[in-house]
Amino acid sequence: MIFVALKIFNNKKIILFDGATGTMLQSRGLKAGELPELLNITAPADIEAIHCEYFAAGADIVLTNTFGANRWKAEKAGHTLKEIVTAAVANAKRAAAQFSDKYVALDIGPCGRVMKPTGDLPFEEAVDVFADIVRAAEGTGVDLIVLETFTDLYELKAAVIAAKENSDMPIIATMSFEENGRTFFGATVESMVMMLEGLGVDALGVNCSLDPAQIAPIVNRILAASSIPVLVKPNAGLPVIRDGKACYDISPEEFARRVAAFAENGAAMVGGCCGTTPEYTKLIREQIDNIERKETKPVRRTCICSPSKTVFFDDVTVIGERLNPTGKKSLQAALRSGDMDFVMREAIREQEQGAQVLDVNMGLPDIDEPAMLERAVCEIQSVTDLPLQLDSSNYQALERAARIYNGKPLINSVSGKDESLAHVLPIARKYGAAVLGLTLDDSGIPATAERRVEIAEKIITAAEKIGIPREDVLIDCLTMTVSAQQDQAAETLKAVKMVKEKFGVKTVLGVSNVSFGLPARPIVNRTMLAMALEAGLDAPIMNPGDTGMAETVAAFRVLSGMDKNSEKFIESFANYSKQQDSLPKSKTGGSTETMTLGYAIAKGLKKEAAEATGVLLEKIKPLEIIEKNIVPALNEVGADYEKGRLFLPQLIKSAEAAKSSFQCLRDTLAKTGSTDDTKGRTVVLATVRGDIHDIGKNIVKVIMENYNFRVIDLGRDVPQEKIAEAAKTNGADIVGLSALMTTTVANMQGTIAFLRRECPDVKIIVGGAVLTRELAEKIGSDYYAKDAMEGVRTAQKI
Amino acid sequence: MTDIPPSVLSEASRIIGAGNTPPQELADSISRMYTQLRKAERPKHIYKIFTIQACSDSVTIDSSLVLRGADIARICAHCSRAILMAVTLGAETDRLIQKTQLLDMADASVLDACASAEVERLCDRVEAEIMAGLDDGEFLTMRFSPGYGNVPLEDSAKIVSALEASKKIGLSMTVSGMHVPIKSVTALIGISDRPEPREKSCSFCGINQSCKYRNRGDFCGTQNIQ
Repeated sequence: MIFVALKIFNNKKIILFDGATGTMLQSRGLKAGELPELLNITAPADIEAIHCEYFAAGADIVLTNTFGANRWKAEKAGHTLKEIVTAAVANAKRAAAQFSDKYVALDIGPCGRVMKPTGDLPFEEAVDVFADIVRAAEGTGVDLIVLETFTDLYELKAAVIAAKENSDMPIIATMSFEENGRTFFGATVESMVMMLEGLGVDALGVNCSLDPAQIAPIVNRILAASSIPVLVKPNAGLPVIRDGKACYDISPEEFARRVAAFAENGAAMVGGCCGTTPEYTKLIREQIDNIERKETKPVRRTCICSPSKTVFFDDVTVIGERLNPTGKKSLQAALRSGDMDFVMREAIREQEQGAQVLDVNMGLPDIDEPAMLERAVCEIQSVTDLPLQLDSSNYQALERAARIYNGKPLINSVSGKDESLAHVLPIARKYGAAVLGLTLDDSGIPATAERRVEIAEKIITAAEKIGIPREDVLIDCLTMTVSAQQDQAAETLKAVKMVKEKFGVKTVLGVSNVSFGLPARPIVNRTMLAMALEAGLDAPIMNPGDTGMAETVAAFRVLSGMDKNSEKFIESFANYSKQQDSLPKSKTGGSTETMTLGYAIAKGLKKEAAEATGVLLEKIKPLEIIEKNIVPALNEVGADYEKGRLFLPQLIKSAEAAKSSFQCLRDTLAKTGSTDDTKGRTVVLATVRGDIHDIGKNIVKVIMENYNFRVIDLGRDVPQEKIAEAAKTNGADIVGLSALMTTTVANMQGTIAFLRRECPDVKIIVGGAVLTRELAEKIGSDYYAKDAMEGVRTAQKI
Repeated sequence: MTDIPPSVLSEASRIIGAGNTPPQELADSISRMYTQLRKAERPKHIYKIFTIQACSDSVTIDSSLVLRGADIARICAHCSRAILMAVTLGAETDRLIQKTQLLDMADASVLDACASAEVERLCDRVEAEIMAGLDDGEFLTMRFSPGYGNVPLEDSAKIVSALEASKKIGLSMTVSGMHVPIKSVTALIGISDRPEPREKSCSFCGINQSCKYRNRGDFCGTQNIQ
């Protein structure tokens, strides 16, 4: 498409981009802290001259001097973004007009801030910031958009979406990588290619960071993975400091020779980044003039990805099913109370148990599913690098999750129903997601394999029709309950086989449904799994913690030859017989009968504390255990901490042990139907707006919970309205606020004033690195706590 | 397990509040978390020499960028050039700390301390490299970071921008002036024409009223200057 839009490139020549603008500006005396983009307005002739030099040297396309232009920087410079961008494009267009067949690209670099949840920039604000730049270029006559030097895949996604939503221009997107083939944020080459192709950019590639020799392995990987044209713009070596100035160590001759080799290998477009000058451009032109541009061939490979992990479904791919509240009371309760820690912990556990993809379903009748799915996806991606399968029957939830997902997700699901196809496929198309097709339609799930194959065909055809390649469609032939319809297991297996053979697409199956209503379900499940794998199943959706099924997968990989030399199998099961032997021992063994609860808490032994509590419960009432055992033990630990006899990690461990004891008491009360009066008063905790570091607050949470306060944790970077609302709805007595920075103490003061108006009865305790007792008083808080322990002591007195 | 550098062990121990020599159990825990940290960290640094001009209450860098504060001006009084530096342990370190908090808060508190100690070690290493490149008659001042003394924390953003740290080492700032990745340091070191006092001094420090080290009679630098 890019070659059609820019008519000149209908010939077979390699397209040449310009070299560095920043390097040229620095050599003309640009100072540190000066805004290069401002020179578009203050020194237009100089900028035009730089562009002219590059055109004269043989560049086909120059990039406008707008790399760092955005609304924040424009504001600081005292100009509108529109003024800067308009002037920049005009400078480049004036230069282009002096030649023939030259083009101007709007250059957009990273915005300089980091996206949530790592940083503080919300996804939609990032989209908006980039959209501003694109809109500012509207009507200026610029020919295409180049997004370059990105290191955060997530930010690049926001930029591509902004460009696509606000312009019809061709888009090229390139990232910079380190020598290890990853960006600073950990994105891999393949993830970049998969995500960008999915989002529908016209060309992609790599720029900056490395010299041509270092970048070569990365270029090869991009060329191998990409189905669309590739742009390569290396640095002229790594910057070295000589006499206080940045120099570059690769000569123009060497640079040109190596860059030409990329074109020989298949790069359609080349150019230079930091350190390159018109001299480099001229020599590249000479080298590439006789090279014919290679046609790109589609790489037909099913893939989904997170920034740092790609899954190709070439091997058995386990999709973890545990992040789905259906039938899981504890997850339901966690979602209703907004306890995302529970969700994140479950995600980490599934990964540790061997899941390669996580299904995420947040559907509960009484919660806002689109908001919850969006939030869950964001939080889960902050603690696991596994690609996600976004699971919902709510189209809005799917759209929002697909939009904010970092990478290329798998959407679960579309069906053969016309309504479903009409809603889900455009979402997958727009956000570059793979999609899972269920073989059912308006008349339900067909009884025969043949009819299911027909529906699969309908889905694949509809997807291809709107531009989703076949390899991005996976098919689920649907498992039926064998106790109700015994002949259906065979039909499902037959359908899996037929779908694979006929369409060559990957297949997915939720296996465990098969055994509903039967005893010994695990036996049926793992046998069905083995049969399905043999029929051609690529990705079972299952509980990765189900030992039988995990063992079946491991054995299947050996028998099918996927596990070369049985290496993984041997590694996993080297101690198999020992594991079996040790099982009975761990059930009976242990010295907890002799270990007192007090000792377990003092030593921070979680499991033992729970066990000792269980033993005590046989003889004593729960409240008595709290008063006579837990509280004295905690007091002793607290006193030791305050006297400097033990330290924070031990205090936390003891607190965690006490928590497991409390949990054990609560479980007992719940079972016996007694009212739970073990839980103490309610505390709302939050790190104030602007602060994204919250380990201190989290420590306070752990300690307070284990002194039996009911803690509502609102997380970090929390607006005052949310704090007041939580305090009101939960009937909190105490609000604990944390601030780490001098800059956010002001937000803390604002929050306190707001809370005084909204909930005047609440007592406010503050803490955090920069606070002092004096400052705490000055900003209007009730109490200051220097650490978690003092926080507890203070709260106990209130 | 990775061998833990003595400076990291004692600094992490001090951050936790256990003094220079941690009890064995804590020392083991620090070593264990340090091993995890080393697998996740991807340390990066950048520094650059700029010409500077010190006035009474600020230092102007490359005649365009101003770092505010009388302390920094005093430190740079004999300097016509200074080094701006930025170091970071990388995004993956933050992620590991975040994840560990969900699994084991006690481990997370130790890991967090290890990361803070590790980024200091990285700074020291970079500083040693800078020192090795000095000419005769050139001396370094102490390393001075925004947020320390009366240099506003927000001025970190100016160092980040002057060094293009976002592009070069993946270090950015939040609006409120926090580094991202969190385990990062930005600093200025003056190049003086005479030997300079290089001890970190409490009297310069902006948090000397709330400092946890001072509260228990300890200090973070080489000596406690009142």
